[in-house]
Amino acid sequence: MSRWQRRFAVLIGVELALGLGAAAYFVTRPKIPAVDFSQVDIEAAAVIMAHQQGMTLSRGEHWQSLARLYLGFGYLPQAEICARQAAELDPNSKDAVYLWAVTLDRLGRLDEAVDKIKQAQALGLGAASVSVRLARLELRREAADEAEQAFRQALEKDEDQMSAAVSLGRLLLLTDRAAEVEPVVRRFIEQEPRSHAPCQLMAWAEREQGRSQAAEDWLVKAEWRPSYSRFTDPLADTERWGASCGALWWVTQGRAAEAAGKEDEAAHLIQRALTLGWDEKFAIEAATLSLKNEQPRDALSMLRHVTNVAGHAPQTSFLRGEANLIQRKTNSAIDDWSESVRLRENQAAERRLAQTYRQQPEVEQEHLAKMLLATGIDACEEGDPENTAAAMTESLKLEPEQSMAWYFLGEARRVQGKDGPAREAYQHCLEIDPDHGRAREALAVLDSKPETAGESDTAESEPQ
Amino acid sequence: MRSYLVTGLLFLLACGIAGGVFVAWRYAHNPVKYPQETPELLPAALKWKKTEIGKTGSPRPRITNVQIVDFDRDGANDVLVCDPQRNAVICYRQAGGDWSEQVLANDLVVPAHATLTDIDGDDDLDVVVSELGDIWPSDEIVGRLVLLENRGSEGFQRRVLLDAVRRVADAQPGDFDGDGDVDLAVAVFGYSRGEVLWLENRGDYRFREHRLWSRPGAIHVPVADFDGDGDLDIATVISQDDEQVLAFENNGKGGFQRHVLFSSVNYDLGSAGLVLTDLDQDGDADLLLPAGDNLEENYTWPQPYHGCFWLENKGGWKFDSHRIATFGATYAAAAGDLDADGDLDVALVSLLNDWSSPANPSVVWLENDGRQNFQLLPVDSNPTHLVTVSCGDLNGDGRDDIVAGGLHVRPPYDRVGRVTAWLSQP
Repeated sequence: MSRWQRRFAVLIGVELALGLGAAAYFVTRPKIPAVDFSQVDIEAAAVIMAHQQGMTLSRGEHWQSLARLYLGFGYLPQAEICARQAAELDPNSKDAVYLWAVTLDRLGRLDEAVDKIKQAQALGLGAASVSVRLARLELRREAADEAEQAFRQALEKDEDQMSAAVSLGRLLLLTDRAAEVEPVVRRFIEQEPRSHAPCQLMAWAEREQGRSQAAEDWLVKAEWRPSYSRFTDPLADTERWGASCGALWWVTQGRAAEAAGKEDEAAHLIQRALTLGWDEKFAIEAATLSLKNEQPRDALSMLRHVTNVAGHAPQTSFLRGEANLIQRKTNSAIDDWSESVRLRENQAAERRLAQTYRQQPEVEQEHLAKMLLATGIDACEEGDPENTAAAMTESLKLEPEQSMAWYFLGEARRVQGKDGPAREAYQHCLEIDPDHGRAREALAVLDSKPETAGESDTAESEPQ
Repeated sequence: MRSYLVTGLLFLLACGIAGGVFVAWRYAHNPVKYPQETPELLPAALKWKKTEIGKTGSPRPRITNVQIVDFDRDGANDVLVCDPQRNAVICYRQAGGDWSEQVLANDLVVPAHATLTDIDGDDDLDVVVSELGDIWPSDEIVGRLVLLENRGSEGFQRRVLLDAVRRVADAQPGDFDGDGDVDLAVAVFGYSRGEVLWLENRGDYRFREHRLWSRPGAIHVPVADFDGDGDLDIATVISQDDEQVLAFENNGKGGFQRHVLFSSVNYDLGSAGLVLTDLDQDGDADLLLPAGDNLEENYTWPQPYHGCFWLENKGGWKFDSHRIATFGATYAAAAGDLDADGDLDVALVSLLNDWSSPANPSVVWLENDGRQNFQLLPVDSNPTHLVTVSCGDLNGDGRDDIVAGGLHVRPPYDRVGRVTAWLSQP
């Protein structure tokens, strides 16, 4: 072999080695899982694509962030692949392992998810919310003992973890340990005496122990709760917010602008969201803002779309009436408000109708009474007995023959601890509607209670 | 000559390396396709002819309930539909191979269920409509129970039987106090607050409500003589927070005692309804519990515990639960003899299965071998997002058919259907 032939052979060998190396790399390198971009809006798709393009495949944090992005937009199997890759690249990262557990959890791969959460905890992840997730997973595996242990672990880490306390309380009820519920939820009731879920649990626990009177008292408190939040998955859909893109993101921005009094900007932002993805709730928000900005045609266009998708509803009919009023189409507006009232009591529509009928005092009074009734029911839904009682009292002064208003007045008085006025209101209700079962039941409960000394039963503002 | 050869070889080498680097770069930045998981299903054992009932209309239909019933008592089955997009309860009748539409009412706010009963004893069927008031979770006091009183040729007169309650999901008739008239059991689903009621018929369309249970999430209230003592009892499924099937044993006079028939510590089970049937045909009332409601997440995935349970009535208020199917995001069940072999099979539909895989079925049937061993068989994967199902013989061939309704509130919207029937074929 000549010198040149030898050189040529070496070169061929080098090329072959390079080729083999490249082929081995192609086969073994991590792959970015593809997603169906038609599932997201165009802006989110662009962000995801940019993220994919910017990936350094050897960096675990890049895989983690892509996993979060996928998780946030519902690409669950793909998120699991990315999270797994992140955890394999960085096996000592508690965040990576936990993220993997979250994706497995969402995919219903329960045993694997439990293993990974425990692994993340062993690596030092100690948040109470992690223990709550573990407990919920154990419940989904119907492992009640392990779930109880995890809930208690969560409460040890954070005694204010209400979702753990409430879930644990339910578990205790389900496993016939009603007497153990009270110590678990007591803290939350001390903080907020009408806290919904704890009061509800106390009611059920009392009932299981045969104390029906106490159960009724707790139920009234639970019914009139000021606020209630459910267990939310801390690492699921909320991750989308971190992406700062997509329809939901712009709606959030729009709501923030509205809260800051920037209604023009808010309308613009929510309409931008609607161009990315249609959602009837966003459309109603956008229509409301358009009306505030005196753009009735925009509002009517969106409301028409909402009605096509979701049918007629009291709120959309009311807003349509408002849009027609701005356009000086008073008769159309009256029709819309009347439709709103016909579909459901609606205080805003009743108010408008009352204003419209100012020249006819009887009709105006009737609508005002109904408006106040609806205002009172709204206050009841908000857990506000004071305003409920005030609105019902005013309504009854205008139209005393409303059994429903008397009933809600009784309920409000009852939760205020004014059993005497509550009893009177229920009695009025039953005089008008002897078949009002809820008033009858409530009265029976009150009648079975001993008179409370010092009860403030002033009838200072009660309708006569 | 040699210098040309060396230059040529070096050029080739450079090209090879550059090409390799380019290919590697392209490949690394070109996402690969994620392989779809397809379920292993047996081939469909029965032949069906799919047909749409009524006009599809909306590009994203929303149906909350379908039932196969003989509404006009003419011997041919009709389809009763609750359509919240049209605020309507609609009856579809078969007319010469086509379907005629009769709107019974069109001013109902999210009707969830329509129940047929002769509430006023005038020998025709009236309709009791449960109004949710809002299709989305809400604690607002927006529920209502509306009677559409059948006045023959004069149409239907609307009467509100129950108002100022939270979202009402179902009402079922029965004489609970033994006074000879029709009372009603009512599921007030609510959201974080709800209740189960029975309404005592006081005559002249007046009803007095009695609270049976105070928990949110009651979906259905099937009524039957579960304990065989001659009076009607009430069952319900609690699906919000807790996952329980309860029964209220009637003492014959409208006094009730509660029994727990089924309970799960899995708060995410997703109970989606409760269906009355005598599945083993032993003469007592059993229940079917479809489970797979996963609407609480924006993005969902079928879970291993989704499917259907048969609650077998063993007498003395003991019910044995049997898992008869595992099927992602099961939302509704109906019993019927789908293969005309004399036993009762079960049809299931899925609301939020993994629709990214076109092979995932939205309708399946469970073939009963006569001893209540069930085999899951596919019917169709189009349309998706089915929320309600009913079985009954629509084409008069002696075999039960399937009707299902779509609730398209989540993507994808590529396989949309409103009211779809699968008619049995020879």
